Amino acid sequence: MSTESLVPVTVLTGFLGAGKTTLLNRILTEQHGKRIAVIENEFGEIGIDNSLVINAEEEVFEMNNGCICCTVRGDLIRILGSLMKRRERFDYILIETTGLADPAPVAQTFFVDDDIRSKLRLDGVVTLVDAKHVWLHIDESSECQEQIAFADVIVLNKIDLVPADQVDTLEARIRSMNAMARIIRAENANVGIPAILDVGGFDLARALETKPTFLEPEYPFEWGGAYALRAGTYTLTMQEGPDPTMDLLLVRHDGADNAVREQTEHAARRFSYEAVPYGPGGILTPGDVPSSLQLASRGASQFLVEIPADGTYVLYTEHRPEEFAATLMAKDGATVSPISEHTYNPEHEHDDEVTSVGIATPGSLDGKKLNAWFSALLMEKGVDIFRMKGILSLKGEAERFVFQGVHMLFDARPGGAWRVNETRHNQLVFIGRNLNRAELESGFRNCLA
Amino acid sequence: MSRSDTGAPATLVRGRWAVRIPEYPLALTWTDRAGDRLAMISAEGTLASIETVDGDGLWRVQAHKGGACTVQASPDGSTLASGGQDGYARLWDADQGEQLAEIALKGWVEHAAWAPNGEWIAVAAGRVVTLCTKAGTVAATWGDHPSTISSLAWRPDSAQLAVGHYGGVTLRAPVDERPIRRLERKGSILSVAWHPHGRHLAAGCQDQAVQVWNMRKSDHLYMSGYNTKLTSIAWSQTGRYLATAGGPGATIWDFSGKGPKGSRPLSVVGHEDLLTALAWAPTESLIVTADAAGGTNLSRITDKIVRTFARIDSTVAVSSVAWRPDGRGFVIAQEDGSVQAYDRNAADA
Repeated sequence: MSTESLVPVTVLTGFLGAGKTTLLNRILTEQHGKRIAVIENEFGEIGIDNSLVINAEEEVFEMNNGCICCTVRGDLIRILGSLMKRRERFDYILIETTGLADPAPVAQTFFVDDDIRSKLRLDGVVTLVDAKHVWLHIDESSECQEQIAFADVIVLNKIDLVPADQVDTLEARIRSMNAMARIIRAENANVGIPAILDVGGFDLARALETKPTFLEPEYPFEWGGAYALRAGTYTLTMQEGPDPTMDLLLVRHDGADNAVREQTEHAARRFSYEAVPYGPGGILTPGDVPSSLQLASRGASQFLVEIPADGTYVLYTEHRPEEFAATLMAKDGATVSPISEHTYNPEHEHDDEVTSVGIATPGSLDGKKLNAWFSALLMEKGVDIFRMKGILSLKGEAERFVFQGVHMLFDARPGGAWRVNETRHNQLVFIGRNLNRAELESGFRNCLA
Repeated sequence: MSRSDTGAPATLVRGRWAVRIPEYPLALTWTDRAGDRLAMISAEGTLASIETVDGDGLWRVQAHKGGACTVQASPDGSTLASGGQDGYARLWDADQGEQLAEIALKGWVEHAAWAPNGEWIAVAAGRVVTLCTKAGTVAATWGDHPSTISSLAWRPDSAQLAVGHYGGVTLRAPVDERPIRRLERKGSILSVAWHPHGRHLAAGCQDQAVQVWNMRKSDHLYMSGYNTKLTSIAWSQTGRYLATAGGPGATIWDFSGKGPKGSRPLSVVGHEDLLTALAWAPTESLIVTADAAGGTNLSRITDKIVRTFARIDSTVAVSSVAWRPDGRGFVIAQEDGSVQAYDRNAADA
């Protein structure tokens, strides 16, 4: 059955008071040409004539299918099944969850139940966030974190009640938790309907549409700088900074142009190797193993850098050099400045439990290795992975491989042929709790053919 | 109601008539033992009576505002019990379509089951089962179930009611306040069916499995590996076979001798889509199976062989099947609201 004949379903989540009812009423009263059936889990809040509104009591069922985190919403299976027998009365379904609902069972219902799969498609999860009061929950409440993590669209509501810089901070925080979602700001839930309905959040075909935040790669270093160096000894001086250690990697680059960018992928792979510790006075050399500089607790620490031959060298550092007032000096005492540099997405200020890990790398993957890695990953970490999406290049395959999933459940299929001269590349994102970025990255990179 | 004659859709079954009420038919139930009258209810709440010789409509009423869930005729066919999304269970005179009684409940009334002795009617709304007399007087209210009720089934002797729900089945006796016992099964139970002699209780599960409890010994069977959740289960008239549907065909377990443990089941094949309905003939081991692609097969089960000897093709999913009480034919209802009667050809195998 083609996806066009499937009835789209949007799930609306958010804490009590975040504005779900206001948004629902707005959707139901606005002229958009859609006949919407609403399933609400919070009693009697909306009352619009001529709308099909059904009250449901949340019933979360564990699936006895050997998948430990697989839960579904039994109430939705019954109610959606019944609704589909009155198919001609509506063309869109909205499910409003309770404030404390976990979105996972709702989403998983659309993967697990065959009746639902054959007649409906989950279009997206829309999460309303109360810009003022969310700070009370965002650190403590796992439900709040999960609602943000699961979302395809996040509406920062009531922004008129907080200062603009606080909204910025909130947005950055939410972005670090969910790099995949579209974030929309609103006062009184005044959001355009096209921004929240028919977003295709779980649609593999639409996963191919470029989403900048989704594609933004993340690297284990924050800064890279290319230097034109002569053979000889240089001195790297650093003051104490936000961390007692600083990892770095120095690689040689043939040629002079685009050195930082061209070495990025190589450096990212090498950065996952165990770093060799160096105390002050240690002698660093260019190579394929990162160094971990152990800084003195107060004042300057100096390290020697041995350059074997004239050339272009790129230095990648875990933190931005200015955080440590780092300087590189030639033997004659002159400060050496990079010929080019790049700052990568900065580390998040919060050590959030819930984070997004995006991986982007050129090349093609070995299908067997990928399968083994992915199976093991879902077995071990499926509980912690809320959502994932990816567009991958498999060696020997003419088409892209597209997948998306929730916990241990996922859909995958070929999605669009690679062009003849196109650079094959892979993009994927995981959103979850306690994700180990370095482990995910090295695991994935090991699957490269 | 529109009416037309159907052609001869397949050998060995003969189409007799077709009517169409353009609403999704939820259930079919016979309102006389001879098989001359049938009632059906639609998802929109229309309750209609059809005379089955020519397919003429006898009466129709709007039984439930906002949609219906179920209908079942009493064993003598005189009274219909319906349940709807309006929160009511209603009793109807099957002759005239007059309302006899109304029971106000909370939430959708999704299931109604007459006791085989015709004395009781059990209705389920949410987690609560309400037991009523045949006149519609509430005799007991049972609310101690862990989830919304998914199914009701009376033991053939009318002494016990099996209530299916998440986590198992609760067995109750009229009009005892406390349950007799609870049969535990992890996961969600979708349907329950009693063996005709009350020996076994079978349950179709959301988890793509069938659980069968032996009611005399603590010897239970769990058959997993179906393609989908279980959409139908039914015992053959003698109780020898248990037909189960959870995929594009029916799996039939043979309970004769030592039972199905360790044996290979029989299969009804030849369906192009998931099975939506199955029904055993009331007098012999003939089974009608129907699917979401619109195909209906008539098969005979003998010792170790399934022989499908008639097929009706259509393009609209079949939603329910009901054999005439005398076994001479059956009626199928399709999702577009068409209802068709077929006679078995006397010459069939």
